[in-house]
Amino acid sequence: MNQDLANKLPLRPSKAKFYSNIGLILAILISSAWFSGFNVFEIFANLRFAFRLLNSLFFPPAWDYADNVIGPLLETVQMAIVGSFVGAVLAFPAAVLAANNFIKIKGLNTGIRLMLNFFRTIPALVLASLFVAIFGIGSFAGIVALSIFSFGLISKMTYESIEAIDYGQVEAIISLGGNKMNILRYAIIPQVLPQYMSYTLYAFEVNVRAAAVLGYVGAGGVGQTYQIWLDLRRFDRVGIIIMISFVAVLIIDFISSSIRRRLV
Amino acid sequence: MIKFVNVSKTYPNGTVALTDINLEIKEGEFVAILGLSGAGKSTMLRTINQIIDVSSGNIYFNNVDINTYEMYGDDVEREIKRQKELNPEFDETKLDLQEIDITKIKGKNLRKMRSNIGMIFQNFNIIKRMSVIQNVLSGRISYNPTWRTVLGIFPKKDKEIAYEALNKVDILEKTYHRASDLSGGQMQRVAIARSLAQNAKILLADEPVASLDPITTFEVMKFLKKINVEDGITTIANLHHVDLALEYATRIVGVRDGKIVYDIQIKDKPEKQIIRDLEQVYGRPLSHDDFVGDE
Amino acid sequence: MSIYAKAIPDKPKSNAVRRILIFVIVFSLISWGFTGLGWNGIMPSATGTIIGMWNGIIHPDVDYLTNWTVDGLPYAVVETIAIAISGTFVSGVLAIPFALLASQNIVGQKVSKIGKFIITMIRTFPELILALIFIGIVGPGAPAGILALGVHSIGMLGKLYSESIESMDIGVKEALESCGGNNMEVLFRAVIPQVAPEFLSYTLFRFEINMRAAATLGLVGAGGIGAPLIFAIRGRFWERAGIIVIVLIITVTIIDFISGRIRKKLV
Repeated sequence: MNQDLANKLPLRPSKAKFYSNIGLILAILISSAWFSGFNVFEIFANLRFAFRLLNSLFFPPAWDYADNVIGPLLETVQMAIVGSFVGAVLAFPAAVLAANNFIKIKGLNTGIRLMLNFFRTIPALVLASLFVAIFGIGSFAGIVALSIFSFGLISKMTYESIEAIDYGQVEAIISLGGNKMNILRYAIIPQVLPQYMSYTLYAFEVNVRAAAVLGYVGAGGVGQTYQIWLDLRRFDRVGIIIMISFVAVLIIDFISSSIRRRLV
Repeated sequence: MIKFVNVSKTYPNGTVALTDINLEIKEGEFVAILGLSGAGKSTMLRTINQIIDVSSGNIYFNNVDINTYEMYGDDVEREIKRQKELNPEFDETKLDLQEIDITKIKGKNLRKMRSNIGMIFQNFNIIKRMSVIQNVLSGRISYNPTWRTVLGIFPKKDKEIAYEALNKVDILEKTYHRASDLSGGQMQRVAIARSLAQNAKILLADEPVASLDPITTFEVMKFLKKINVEDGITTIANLHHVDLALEYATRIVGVRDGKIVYDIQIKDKPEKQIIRDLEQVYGRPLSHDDFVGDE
Repeated sequence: MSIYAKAIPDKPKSNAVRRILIFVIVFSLISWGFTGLGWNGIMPSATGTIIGMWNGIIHPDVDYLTNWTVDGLPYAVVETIAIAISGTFVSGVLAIPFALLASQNIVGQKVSKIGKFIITMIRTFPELILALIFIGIVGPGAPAGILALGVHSIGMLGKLYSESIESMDIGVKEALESCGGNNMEVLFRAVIPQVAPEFLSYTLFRFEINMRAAATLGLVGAGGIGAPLIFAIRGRFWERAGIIVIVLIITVTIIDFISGRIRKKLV
């Protein structure tokens, strides 16, 4: 191209930042892989073990053991129900207090959010093992762990919903002389309730999956059954547990999603 | 009934909304506040029930019973008579009427004062998920203990008041419908009914018809005029359209840059003269956007 | 109801019946849930345990924190982060073909339904079980954890990616196709530029979740801080458990914060 045109071209935006970002990301990825001993080739070498394992799990699974799975599985679902319910009940007042457009005490809003964050940071399994140490083996420990986890999850999503409401309806109730409770009942709850219920159902879906493994630390449900048969290396029984849990989660997810879609 | 004395308002971000507002509104008037957007109309309206507070100045309400914060307005005798009709055991010797500055009261007393003032909004602000009757009943909030309002269980007397209010705005047939099923004009009528259920003596209307089509606009304005004339409700309305003001109001107050620059009773001047005056208020010639049009 | 009795319509009854029905169903479900409460009372040692836990928080085992060897806390934390990063990366890459298969506007109605189903199937496998399976394949240690996270996360990322793809502007794709671009070109120049920021955001979100998951996988021997933590809890070494929990919370919070900032800049 002629010199005239070359002079007119605007300066190209520097690509340096983009490339240095990519470099940084690559460095992180590679060092992570190296540090953890992740060797892709080794994995492919061991792939035949995968088939052997899958074989012992599912071909065939221990069909005769199926009946024994139902009991613990139901317990798992019960745990998820109670955990979601208790968590949801506690979450609502917490969300109301954490929202910065209702009760506007600065320290309170931040304080509650920090607490919620704290509860969401500890993995459910760790919570469960802590509670097993206090309450002993059984589903109670698991239920407490799930409640705390659900509490953190539902609170966060709910207070974000509260902060996103149409404030005009709040204004209307204030203008006719309503107090805070009236505002809550007439302006906030009608707007937030469907979403709150949707979040609770979502937490329930997550809890069903989580409850399935809590038993591994003794906190009840089908997790305990997993642990026993894995230790005894009866993979056919492990396989049937996986299959039945799988079907159960599918069904529950389907029902829960259908309800959630009709709510919002 | 309402008296603004040197009211000024500056928002925290520095915007000066109102400067030295002095205004007296008598009971029963239908005041139309006109002015460009951002002139301070909304702010001025909202200081009346203090959902926006003032930076300085006072807003006085006369003849307020210090025990119940009920407003007795300009014609105390008539209001006492009305109270006696509603409640035969009404004891007028217990009344202690004073002039109250609403900018100085807080908490429960402020809420009691507010229950005498109804407010309707441009986007209606009714609870879409609830039924019409529940919406109107929410006007009875300050007349009931908290437990009743939280559960939504109102006494029969309140339901009667709600039905009467709905009847007044001609929307009884929608009583049990979900509010979201209604059209804009119907929603605004429900909002008016809510204010009626409050037994509001004053109605603040912030651009009440700005979101409505011309036909519905006239419908709603007619209802506002009706309750102003029949029930003596002092009405103060922010309006965008000059012909609405001329047709329905008794007084026009023009606001520009946070100050009152125009204030006349409509019957005192011919229409054409008022329109010419308003061009001074707006600072520009009026266009057809400033008029709703023919019925 | 005096004079208004005629004017007001009848209160709709069907609504009430349906609501009562729903209430009864929900109430029974929840009650049934509570029958599985499993309340065995508090363990007799419980008070001692709680005191021990509290002690562990206020007097954490700082030696463990400064133990820079392979057995120390820093190593375990770094390993946990490494597992989470690698696992998220693996799933981020693997999820793309699944997501494409599940997107209606790429492969059409029928195939996308199958794709979505496969993704849901993958999502249903608990990470812990996957970890155990992978341990059976590649042996215990971090790689098993990475694979477990990698495969499981395909479930969530695949779903989010496909939602992203399905909501993108189809016009760009058509423009490229109409001027003669083949499938690869369409992919790289139309689809990827549009969905890349959202993909990255979702991947980072999944990374935050995987950090927590990585902390627990160690329990079954898949590397990371899970094993020392659960051992400490089981063995009631509360000072050790305390320091691990504290460091874990701080680490996850910092990572959440950084990740959140990056995500805000993306979308």
